[in-house]
Amino acid sequence: MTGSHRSLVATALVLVITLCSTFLVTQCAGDVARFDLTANNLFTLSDGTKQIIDGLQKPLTMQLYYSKSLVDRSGQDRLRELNNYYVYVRDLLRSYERYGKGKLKLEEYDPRGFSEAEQEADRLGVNRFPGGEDEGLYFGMAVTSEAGAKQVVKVFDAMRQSQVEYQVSEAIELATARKKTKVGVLSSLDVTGGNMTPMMRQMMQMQGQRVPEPWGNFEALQQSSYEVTDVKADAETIDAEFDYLVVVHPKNLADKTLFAIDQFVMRGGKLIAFVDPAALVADPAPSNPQNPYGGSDHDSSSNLDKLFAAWGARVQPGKFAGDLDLAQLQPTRRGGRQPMIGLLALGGADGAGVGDAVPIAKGVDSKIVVCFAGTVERTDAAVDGVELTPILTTTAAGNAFTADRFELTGMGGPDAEKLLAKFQPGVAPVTIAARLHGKLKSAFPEGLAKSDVEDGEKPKDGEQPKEGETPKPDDADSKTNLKECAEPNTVLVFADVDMLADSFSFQRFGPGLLYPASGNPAVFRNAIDYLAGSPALMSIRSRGNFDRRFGKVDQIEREADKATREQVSRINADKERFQQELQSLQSQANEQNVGLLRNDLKQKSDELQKQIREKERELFKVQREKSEAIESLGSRLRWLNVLGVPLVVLLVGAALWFVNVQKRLATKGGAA
Amino acid sequence: MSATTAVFKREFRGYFGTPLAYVFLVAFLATAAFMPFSQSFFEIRDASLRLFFASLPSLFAFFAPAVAMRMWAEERRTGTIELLLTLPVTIKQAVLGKFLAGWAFFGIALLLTSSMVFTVSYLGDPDLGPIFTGYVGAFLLAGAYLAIGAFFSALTKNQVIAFVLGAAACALFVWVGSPAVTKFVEGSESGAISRFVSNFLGSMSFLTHYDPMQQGMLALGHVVAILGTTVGFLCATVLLLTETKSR
Repeated sequence: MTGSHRSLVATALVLVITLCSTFLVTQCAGDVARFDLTANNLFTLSDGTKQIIDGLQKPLTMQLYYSKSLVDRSGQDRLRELNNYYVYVRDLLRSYERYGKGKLKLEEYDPRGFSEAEQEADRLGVNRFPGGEDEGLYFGMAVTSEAGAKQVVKVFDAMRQSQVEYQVSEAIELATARKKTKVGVLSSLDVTGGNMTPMMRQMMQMQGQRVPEPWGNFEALQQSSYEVTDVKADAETIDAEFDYLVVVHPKNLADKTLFAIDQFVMRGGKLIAFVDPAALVADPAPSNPQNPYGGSDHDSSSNLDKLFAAWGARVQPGKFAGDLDLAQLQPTRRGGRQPMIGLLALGGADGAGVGDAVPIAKGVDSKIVVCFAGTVERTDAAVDGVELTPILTTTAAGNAFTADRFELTGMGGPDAEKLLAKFQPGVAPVTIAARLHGKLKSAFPEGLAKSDVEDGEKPKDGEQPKEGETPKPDDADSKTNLKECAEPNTVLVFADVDMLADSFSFQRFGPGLLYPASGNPAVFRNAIDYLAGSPALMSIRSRGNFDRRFGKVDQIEREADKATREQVSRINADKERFQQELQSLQSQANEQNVGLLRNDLKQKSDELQKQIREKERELFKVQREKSEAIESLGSRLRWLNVLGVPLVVLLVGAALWFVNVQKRLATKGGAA
Repeated sequence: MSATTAVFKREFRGYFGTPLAYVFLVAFLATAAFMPFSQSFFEIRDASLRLFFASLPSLFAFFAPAVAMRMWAEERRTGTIELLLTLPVTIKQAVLGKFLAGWAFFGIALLLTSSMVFTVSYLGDPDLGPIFTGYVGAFLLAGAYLAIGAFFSALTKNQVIAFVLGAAACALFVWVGSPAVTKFVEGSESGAISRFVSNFLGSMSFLTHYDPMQQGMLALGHVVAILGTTVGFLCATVLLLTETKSR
């Protein structure tokens, strides 16, 4: 062998050794000595998780299923990200295993077609997605114990990376729970999708029947192995077995049902109530093409006023929480975008509107969105020993405003401009959700009149009770009547129902694939965990992606809007006046005088139409100026980075070159 | 002053002694800023440099061999390599000095992209952790690409060939772990060997090690993997040049 060959062989050998070493390092040290530099420690086990692992009494096994070979053979580059995500999940689970020191064991499986691993994944209930001809794509895990308990994370959704730790920790905690947590759901809307099992749902679909969809928040609750049970909106009793009762949008509940809820709370049951002066999204008016304005007849409000009053709180009808600083920009009826004063985004990175004392919304990283929420206030006759602690509020500049049904549900939805004109900034925060805590007293201290128990119907407004139906103390059902809680109890009141609806909570990417679209799902589940006293899970769930939007752009939009608001209102008012004049002019023209007035009317009509067009042009110009401010910022920054910085480098280079040339010439001159 | 430092200084000054360095910097900075803006950086309104960092591996695959191609090929073509090797400088020192000069040059190029950091900080409130680790990852990646480029530059006298081979190798190291490549290598067969092969190729890919850094995670394994490849190619360059010297 010549020296040249020896050198080439040695070079090749060095490269092979390098590549093999890289492989070994990746396999052995891929997840050691890791430094997580993200602001919210996405890659580090949280204290909540450590607390859950510390509390494990018996060892658990985590079975991770990922069809890596199928992904590798798929030939699709976009799936490379799935491989990276798998590595992230695997490394996180290895961190669990390391921290568990024998309490947690990780087993990894690559389910191939017709393999035992595939059968096991199917048996455990890990989601199977269409993959190859004979293979399915799996990416989920199961937590099993020797005693036979199991909890499944059906799928690790790549869009929910910030939720992985919560999913895993929750599965571990539930796998060790002695019994399932029972949640009763009482609602005037179908929020649980008829409480059907997936099998029933599938059968109905196969039969071509319409399957009611559960709201994402309740579907996610069911997926997490809570036992969710529907409670009828006219129930006379609430099962004492329920760990929680969630009341959503209670519309005109009969006294017997209110009494049942009241007694559930008096017995020490945990209540979370979502009421709303106008649930515009969750309970919209039925559409009627024949009567487009008919929506204003629909009552979308709900309340538990009788119970709240006994507990020293109230949510007043027709009164809403508004805040210019938190209002979301929405397209207006006349084009352009304006702040919708009742559509508020709270919390997020700056924590605006999040109460510190009750850690339900605190620390939720994503924005919490409420839509025309009511206000939770103390009643004038405050109840001794019952505290009202805010969970969600407006900022100090927020205020309550009133709006009638037509302003909110007229054709095209709420009128942003009109509502904005009504709003007056305040000086103190307005409470949107609150915790009531203390020795709560019954709203039915004398029990429930027998007539109500028998009739089950609440007398309608203005209707006098029939003779013999007047509730009397001696007529009361005293069997179950508790006058107050034996121990201090807690009730959570949210004056917004829409925040639970899918529109403000989730994006769906197929059956069972829910992606939180806001911080609302975290608040809902935190509320349940808060009452359960599970701070560990709460602390994990609240972690997530901060909403890191371009605040500067939002600020420009707001300022531009503020600057042009008066102008836009004036133009719109002028336009409306011209339109009314035109309508009245046209109504004057009947068959008799049409000939007489023709010329005069036509002239005036043309004149008015011209003025309306002129106003529309003005409006368009104002709106265009608003969007131009943002476009020009984008354009400036683009050119600054793409051309500005290189140009500076070029100029510096040219200057240095010039200095060098001068120096050289000077040196030559000196030498000469 | 050690010989490595002397070579480093000579090379580093050499970059800025010609207009080539400025042309390179201008082209790199303009492209690096253009890529995220062309992918709706402003319209997405997300205060992060995700799009910027994601485009860097492809950019480096082009620019690093462009910087590295003249490192040794030019010296070999003009014959100055013989002169260099007669000086009291070992080949190791020469390779290291030249490499460090190129790497420092890339460091400056990356530093100049900090206008993107100011831009995103002006527009919003970015998480600075992933930006920092993203820059660390990008700097390591630039070093690895440069070492690959230097190796191919030492392999041939022709700069163009050195550039083409270097760019191809860099591209290979970016995409080697992608499913398209593993499918090509494995065919439709699946088994223990093919799984090993795909795992092996996956660990070769720079993206496997760079992606977690973009997201804010610095792991010793990933850093060592990229640095190991860099050191491996530098050693291979030393061996190649030793053979040249002995001839």
